[in-house]
Amino acid sequence: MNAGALCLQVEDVTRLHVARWPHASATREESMKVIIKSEVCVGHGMCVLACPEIFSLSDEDGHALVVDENVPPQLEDAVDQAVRGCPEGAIETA
Amino acid sequence: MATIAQSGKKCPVSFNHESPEHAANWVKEFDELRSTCPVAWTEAYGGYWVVTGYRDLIDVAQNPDAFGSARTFDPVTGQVKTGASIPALPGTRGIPAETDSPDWDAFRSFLNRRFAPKAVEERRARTEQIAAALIDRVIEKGSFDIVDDFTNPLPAIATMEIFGLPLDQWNEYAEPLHKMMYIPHDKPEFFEAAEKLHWMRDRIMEQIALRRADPKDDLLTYFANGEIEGKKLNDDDIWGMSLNLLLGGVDTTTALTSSVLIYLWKNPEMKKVFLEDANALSVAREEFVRYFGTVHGIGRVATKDVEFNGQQIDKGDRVYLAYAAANRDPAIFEDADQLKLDRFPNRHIGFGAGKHRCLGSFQARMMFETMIKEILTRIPDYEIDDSKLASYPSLGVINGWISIPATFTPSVKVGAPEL
Repeated sequence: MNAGALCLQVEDVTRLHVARWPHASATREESMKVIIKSEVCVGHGMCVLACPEIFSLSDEDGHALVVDENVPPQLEDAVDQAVRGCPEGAIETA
Repeated sequence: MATIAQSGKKCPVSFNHESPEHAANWVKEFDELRSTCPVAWTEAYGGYWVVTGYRDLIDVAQNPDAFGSARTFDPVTGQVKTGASIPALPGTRGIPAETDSPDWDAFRSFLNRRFAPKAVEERRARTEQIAAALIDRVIEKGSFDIVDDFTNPLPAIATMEIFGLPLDQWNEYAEPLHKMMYIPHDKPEFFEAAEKLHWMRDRIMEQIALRRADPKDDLLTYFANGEIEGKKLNDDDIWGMSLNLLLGGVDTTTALTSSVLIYLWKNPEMKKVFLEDANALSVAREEFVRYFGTVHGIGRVATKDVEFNGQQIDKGDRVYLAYAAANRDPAIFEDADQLKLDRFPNRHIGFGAGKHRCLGSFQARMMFETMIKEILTRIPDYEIDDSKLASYPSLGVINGWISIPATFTPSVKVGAPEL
């Protein structure tokens, strides 16, 4: 028997994977990542209001910190609000 | 300082942020400026640029190398030339608001921790006690002045406690600071109030001397015994920081909270919402900061020649950052002139922008929430006598209220510790 007939092609595996988890990228499943540009952040605190699960404020100077750079899917909208709510444009996502 | 040449400045406008006309009509005046001359030149007070667009304002605030904040003096006359306000208030530099790097970095760093969210949260319970004590003083009478009896004393007392100043003298600080914010600078009453700054300085220096001998856990001890870059602070720097904190702390939260209590009187359906939903109050709080434009604007000076949004700005030119205008910029805020209490996200810059962002913003938010909750709990049915409502005749620095007389159903004291 031909080995190739038993192996699913990569494209087939990808199609099945994406069909089951529609938000996954075609090549790998990865959460949204978020970073704060610390040289831009001045501590308005809007990000914490938008998404306290992902952002917190420093005890030292009130500047923002990322609790976990990996954003679970259910928090993506909130993180997006944080991005749009930062007057300084200090938050970036990928 | 560069001589200001009238002919060289484009977009000349007739504008004075301290004028009664502006106070009466600031939203429209700013809208017009923003749409016709977003970086406009006025000859008032020796001439200054007026920046009213949000993105331009962020650009200036994020560029402290070109637009500085330091207080400077005329080398010949000794008159103050530049500072946080236009025209600059008399006196020594407020620190860190009127400093540039490298001075700014060390001073701001020195103060940050005491005003960071954690330190502020630790003061919430005590602030609630102060609020309760202030209401206890009036609760049986059935009438009070919202400003004189509550929104003015609370931030003043809270600030004095942070310092470690004797509380029984709170009004000696609060009244002149309050008056300096709304009386035009050419009136004798303004100078009378400003004179009191000397008295405040003397009191603070007395306490500093005491703290050197007998340290406590307060800001004055931190000033007396703390070090910046290995050196003890000199008296001018201690007074500069004290002045900045007093000016920043004392009339600002007062004005915001006063405006909101007037709003709630007119929109009582929101009272229950704010009392029961902390998140709704937080979101609304930011919209109130945006909409009321409590700190109307702040000054900068160009530290080099710079081309900015089509204008040639000369080194030495003053610049008025119209924060209240930026907060109504329709390019950023949908329905910018509407108060939308669920507006979110809300990228307002009511606490400033760039590195000079208000040090006290977390303290302000906490005091504001405390005052709102205390009124809504203890005096929910207050009625304002709007025939006696008096707003500031001049808005240049703070958009506030002189007096808000109100009546209510008398009730009982809760027995908060006397102040």
